[in-house]
Amino acid sequence: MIAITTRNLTRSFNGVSAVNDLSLKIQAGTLYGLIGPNGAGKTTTLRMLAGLIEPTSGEIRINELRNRDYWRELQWQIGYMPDFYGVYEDMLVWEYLDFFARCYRLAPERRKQVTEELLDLVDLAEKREAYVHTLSRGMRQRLCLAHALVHDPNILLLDEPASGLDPRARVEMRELLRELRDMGKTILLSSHILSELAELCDTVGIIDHGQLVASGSIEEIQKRISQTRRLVLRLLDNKFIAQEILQSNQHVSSISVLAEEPFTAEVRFSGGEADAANLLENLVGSGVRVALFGEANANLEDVFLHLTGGDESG
Amino acid sequence: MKHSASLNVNPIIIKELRSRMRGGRAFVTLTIILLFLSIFSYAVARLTQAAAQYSGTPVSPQIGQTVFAGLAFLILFIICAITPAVTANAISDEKEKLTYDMLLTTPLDPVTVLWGKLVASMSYIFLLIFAALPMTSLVFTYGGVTFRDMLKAVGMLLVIAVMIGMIGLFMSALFGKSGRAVASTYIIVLLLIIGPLFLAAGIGIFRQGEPPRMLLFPSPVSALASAMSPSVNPQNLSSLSWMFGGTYWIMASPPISYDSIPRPLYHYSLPLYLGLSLVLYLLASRLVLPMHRWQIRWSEWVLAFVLILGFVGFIASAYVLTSPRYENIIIVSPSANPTPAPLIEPVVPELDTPPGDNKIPPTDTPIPASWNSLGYHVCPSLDERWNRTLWKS
Repeated sequence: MIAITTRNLTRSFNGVSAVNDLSLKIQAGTLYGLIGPNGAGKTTTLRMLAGLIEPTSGEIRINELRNRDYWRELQWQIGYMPDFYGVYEDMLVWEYLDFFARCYRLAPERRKQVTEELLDLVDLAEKREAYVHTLSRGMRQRLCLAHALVHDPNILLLDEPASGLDPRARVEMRELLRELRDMGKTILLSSHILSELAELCDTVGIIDHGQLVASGSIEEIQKRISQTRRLVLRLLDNKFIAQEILQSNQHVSSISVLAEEPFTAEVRFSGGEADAANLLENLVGSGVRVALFGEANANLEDVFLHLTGGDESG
Repeated sequence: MKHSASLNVNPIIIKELRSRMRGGRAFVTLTIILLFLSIFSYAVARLTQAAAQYSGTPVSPQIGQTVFAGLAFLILFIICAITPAVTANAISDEKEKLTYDMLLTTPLDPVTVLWGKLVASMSYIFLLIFAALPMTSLVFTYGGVTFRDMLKAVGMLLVIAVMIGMIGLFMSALFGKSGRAVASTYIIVLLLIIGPLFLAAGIGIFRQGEPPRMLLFPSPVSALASAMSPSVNPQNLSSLSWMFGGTYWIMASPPISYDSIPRPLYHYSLPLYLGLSLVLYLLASRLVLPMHRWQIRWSEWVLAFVLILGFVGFIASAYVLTSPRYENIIIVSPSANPTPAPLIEPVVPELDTPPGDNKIPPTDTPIPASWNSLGYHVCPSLDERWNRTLWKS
């Protein structure tokens, strides 16, 4: 079952499009990561999905319901955690959750129960009587996540849930999200930090300038974009001969020297396995002593930079 | 289970009251204001006593009336000073603190948010007014003020507070920025208070005569003064007149004085305030919506129309029902010898005018030969007899 579908979703602010012709399909029960540089349109997308702003054009379906027609029903199925969110001053942690439980019109007994359960879930039970504004960043983030869970929604829209968290808090957040996914919830989260999503998400979508540039599992995306593989070489001597051989090879498109002593270089190589073997044979046959000849792992940051046009500042 | 709407109190009210009334800050403010009020009323009482020593006029009811009027105006100014600060950031604060989005994703209706904010902030102002009531009722020990006067003054204060609160909420929803909303609310309240007074004074100077009283009705000061004027004679309040300048005489003057308006001013102010509050509420309830602000559904048009129509109908029927009491006055009004414009004198003048009660005898009773004997002719209620006795004592 598909939990979230968008079709040609477009939103522009004063003529500048923030989200442009975005079509997403998110399977129910999966963790989907929306990733892109700042200003790519992630927050706008999530706000549209949460029903806070209206698309300029295009369509959103959540749990197969068109959100334009069923937004009242959908409010009960969506939990939204905004990117920047405030907390109310002069409010205790349990009151904060109690307030949102009241907003969802939970019955008093149920309200109490939900508040306690959620405080346990996000590990804030001992902070129950603390003031919200005294909590640390990570705690606030978890409290905010808890608020989005008050009505037990089956879809969670989390805007940058791990931003500003220290590594430990980030790990905790990750564990929490996994736990929620295992409860059967569909989670759509956004981030501009790749490594955060790589370990966590089942599927990622890379978004840039309001457009989805790639979508799928992380391995799939890596494979799709790296037709040119990168070879790493370490040579002990005869590096000039080696460079000549490399430059004359038709499959080598660029050579970048990583270190001089011992000579280490990264080569963009478009040929297949056999071509690589030929190249190695050629090198060794010319008396070059090869210490390392292997394929460099295409790392995610490279994928990201490649897809988003190498412009991370957005 | 989920959709079962249990009969819950508006969550916004609970949230607001929890955070507003927490930590004793609200109560410290309240205590300070009450202390201030009591010091002020004591000072006014002493001042009036001192003044009465020289003029030799009856003391006790005069002190009562002066203290009463002084307190009422002080509370009015406290309301004008505090209400914008309490209400004008109500919506914009949520927007600025970015909690508004979180509210909007809940099934909580934005209009419920608006209503909750209004009730929560007004409840604080009302608490202030009602906390001041016991002290205000100390004036009964002096006499000169009826329970009815007290009710009228408190009612007027409540309506003014609601109106200012609604202006604040509207600005808050309109601008979405607390600074702008608070500033504009204060400016509007200030204009409402002094604008009509200055306009009236200016026109009075320009015309070299009595300014039209009708100009003053938007001002809360005039409204409150006229609501209290039947028994709180403006002449008694000369010691307070420095607060408002000479215009105090005009706004507080009894119904049949210098102009063609048969009713006391507050009869015009009340509908204005209530109507303004209603219209601002309706507008604000659109402004709080995140989208489709002005795509008003057919049913909503009807609801707004019914509300406004009901309000207009209510006011109109109130006017029609009370018209025999007021419009008749014109017949009694001694148009042959119009009352001259009063002179503003520093000392309390002789009581040569009647208390200016609205309940002038119906036409079938003999017209009193002079104003001074009016009190002996007809006293429709015990209340007024008591009131007049005090006046004469």
